[in-house]
Amino acid sequence: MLEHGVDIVLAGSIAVVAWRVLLEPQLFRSMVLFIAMGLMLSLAWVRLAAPDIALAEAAIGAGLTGILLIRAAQTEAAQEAAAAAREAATSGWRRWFPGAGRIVSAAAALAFAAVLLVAVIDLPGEPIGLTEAAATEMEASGVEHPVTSVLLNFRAYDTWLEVGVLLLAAMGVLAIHRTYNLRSTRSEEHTMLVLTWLARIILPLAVLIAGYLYWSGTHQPGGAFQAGAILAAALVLMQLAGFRGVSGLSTLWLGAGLMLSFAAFLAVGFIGTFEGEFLRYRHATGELIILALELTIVVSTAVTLAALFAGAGSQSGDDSDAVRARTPPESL
Amino acid sequence: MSSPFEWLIFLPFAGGVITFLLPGKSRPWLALLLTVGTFAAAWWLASDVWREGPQGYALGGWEAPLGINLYADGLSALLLLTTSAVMTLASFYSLGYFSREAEASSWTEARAFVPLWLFLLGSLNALFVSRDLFNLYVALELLTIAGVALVALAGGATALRAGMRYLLAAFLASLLYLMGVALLYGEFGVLDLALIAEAAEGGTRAPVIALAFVFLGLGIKAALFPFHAWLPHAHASAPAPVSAVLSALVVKAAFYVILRLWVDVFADSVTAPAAQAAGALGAAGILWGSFQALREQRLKLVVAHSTVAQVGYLFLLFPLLTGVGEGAWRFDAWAGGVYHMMSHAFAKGALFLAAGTILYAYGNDQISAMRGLTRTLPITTVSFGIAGIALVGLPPSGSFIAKWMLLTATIESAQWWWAVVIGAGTLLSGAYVYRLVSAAFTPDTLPESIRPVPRVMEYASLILALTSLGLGLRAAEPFDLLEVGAPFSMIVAGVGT
Repeated sequence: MLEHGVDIVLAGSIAVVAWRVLLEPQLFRSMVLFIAMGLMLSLAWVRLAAPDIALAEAAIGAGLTGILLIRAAQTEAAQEAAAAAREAATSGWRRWFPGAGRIVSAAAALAFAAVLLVAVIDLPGEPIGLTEAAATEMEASGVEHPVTSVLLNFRAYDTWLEVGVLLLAAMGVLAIHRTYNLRSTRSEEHTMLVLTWLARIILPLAVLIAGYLYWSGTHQPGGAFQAGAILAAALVLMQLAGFRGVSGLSTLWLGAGLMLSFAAFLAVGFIGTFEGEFLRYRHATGELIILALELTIVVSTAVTLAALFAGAGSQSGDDSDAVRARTPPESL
Repeated sequence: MSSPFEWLIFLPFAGGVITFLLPGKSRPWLALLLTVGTFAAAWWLASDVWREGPQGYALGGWEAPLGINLYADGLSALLLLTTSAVMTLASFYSLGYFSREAEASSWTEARAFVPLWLFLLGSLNALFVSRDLFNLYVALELLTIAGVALVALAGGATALRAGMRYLLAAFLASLLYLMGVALLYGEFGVLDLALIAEAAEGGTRAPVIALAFVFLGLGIKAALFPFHAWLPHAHASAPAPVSAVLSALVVKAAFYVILRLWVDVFADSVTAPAAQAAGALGAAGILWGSFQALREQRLKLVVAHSTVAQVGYLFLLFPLLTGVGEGAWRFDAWAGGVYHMMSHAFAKGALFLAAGTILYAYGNDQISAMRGLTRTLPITTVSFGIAGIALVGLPPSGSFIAKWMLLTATIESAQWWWAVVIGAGTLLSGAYVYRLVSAAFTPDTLPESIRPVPRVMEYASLILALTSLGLGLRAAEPFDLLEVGAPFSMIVAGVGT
């Protein structure tokens, strides 16, 4: 009974906070609320017995996405855009229908939710899927946790391409900035002493937690992406506290950090073709390969997410010529 | 590395990694080499399919349902060939377009361009050989992000804004698709397309809502009317080789997934009203896109709007395939549609490259400024004309055969109204192509200064245009290849052979 109560309160709060995120006129407060909503969602995933997703939601969905949003909103371009949007919302025909956009979006979202509800109720009652098949073959995969064996062995190809998606996002940011390192990005000029102090305490802890999550992924919930996200948060904190972080990396090292995991999968895949198929691991060495690949995922995820943050802070776009002029020629 | 599947995936992605890490002037040449290598791998796979029938490949040695399996039949093979052919020629073009004689900034773009370009090629290959509902999602994501980054590469506020709109539309589409995939997995318990098809034929109908999510998401990515609004500016403001590949291949990739799911996987679940609705949206796209193309003042926007129209033809397939009985016209409709995809890929690639050449030389792409083109850029004018013929669907182009087959199918399946749409669309496309060509042939005082155009740019678009024409002259082999593993039979449909 108590459990149901907790669930109902949690679900209700998520809906209320989501509503507040949409209605909040101030961009910054709306983003803070968004982060709070992400944390509540991760609690919901815990209640749904999906701790892996809960960890990912807390670290990426709430933490890094939130800080990326705030970072982007601080730029002058974003402030101008927000002002223009406010202007547009109170001019023309919209003046006569204040809040019309919101009502339409709310109606669309509710209709969508209703359709989704019908679809979910329609699903077969008995959960079907590949859980059993995965359990039977898990021994051959080299690890003892079903999620990891699916991600790093049975469907390693998907994981590899997902690593590629993350990589492409970072490549896209660099391409838009027309640079191959982030040294020209904004460094924090006014760092608070307390932040520096905090960073010194949190950084070693973050490394420890990331290491633990990485290692535990072989036999219990946890894993490389979550560990990478936590390391990325540490790198972001470094940047905020006035240390150089990823924007101190040279072109080669930044590139290597971003590419490491994707290239490692590619190499393992290539070696696998001599044994049989692309991405085939021999049973005896399966665990070692998976651990090595996961380690590369930790590094690349951390560098990529931190690079997205560093990239989001620098100005670009309209003044691309200025960016071009600023970037040293040898780095291009 | 004894299978063509491995090379198709390995080559472009390895090239993406290497060209990103290694600085050097050889980058664009390396990209060209790798696209040629990919074409060879696609040829290898196509010849295997031709000789031995559809090919499969179990990644990591894990068979479906647990693992991810790749698959190639005639349809996949033809699209892989088209992809690497178009990208090879566009890579040739980019050698000139990003050459060092050009301003320093474009050399900078080239450095960012090459790795993204190879990633785009890799994700197209991955998509065309995928046989897994979730793997298709991942491939579509890769494709989208590579595409958006390449659009934004053009720099400046317009390109960034267009890229951002593209990104938002494509992400909404991805999420819809993913939601549908999750629901389908909940229903069938597997992700492998062949296994889902088996289950769906065995009586379990796919849930309507899940299919609606999947097809809606893919429809947005394929720029089906009225979800096309992101396309014209994204395709028009990208660098020329990127515009060519986005219109020629990336939009088609999303359509390919629709076609694959509709025809091969959920053939028993889709309904006649859904097919008629898809056809109606396609028809609206044809008319709207052509109408907009007639009104635009900028060359690249005309070409981009015409993509919206040409994608519309593809959606006319569905009412010809579903809910009209089991006639022989179904092969005509299906194969005609696929042939239209290919032919349009080459024609539109050529048009965008030619438009890019004009923009490169004249510094702007106003149609009114195109005067005297026959004297300044004769080869580009010729490729413009030939690609225009192929776009309208005049004989002897590949689109002529494709449209002929579609028309035959509309008549044989007694749905004359689609024939009216095809006719009207052809007339409208004739009008906007005429508008461009007549501007080019208007003799006028030559512009004062024209930036010299590297030869390779002009010839790359000419070869693409000639290929779209050649598809009409030599159609027998492509159709034989297409029949391998085809869902419909060619028997009664006396075409090509």
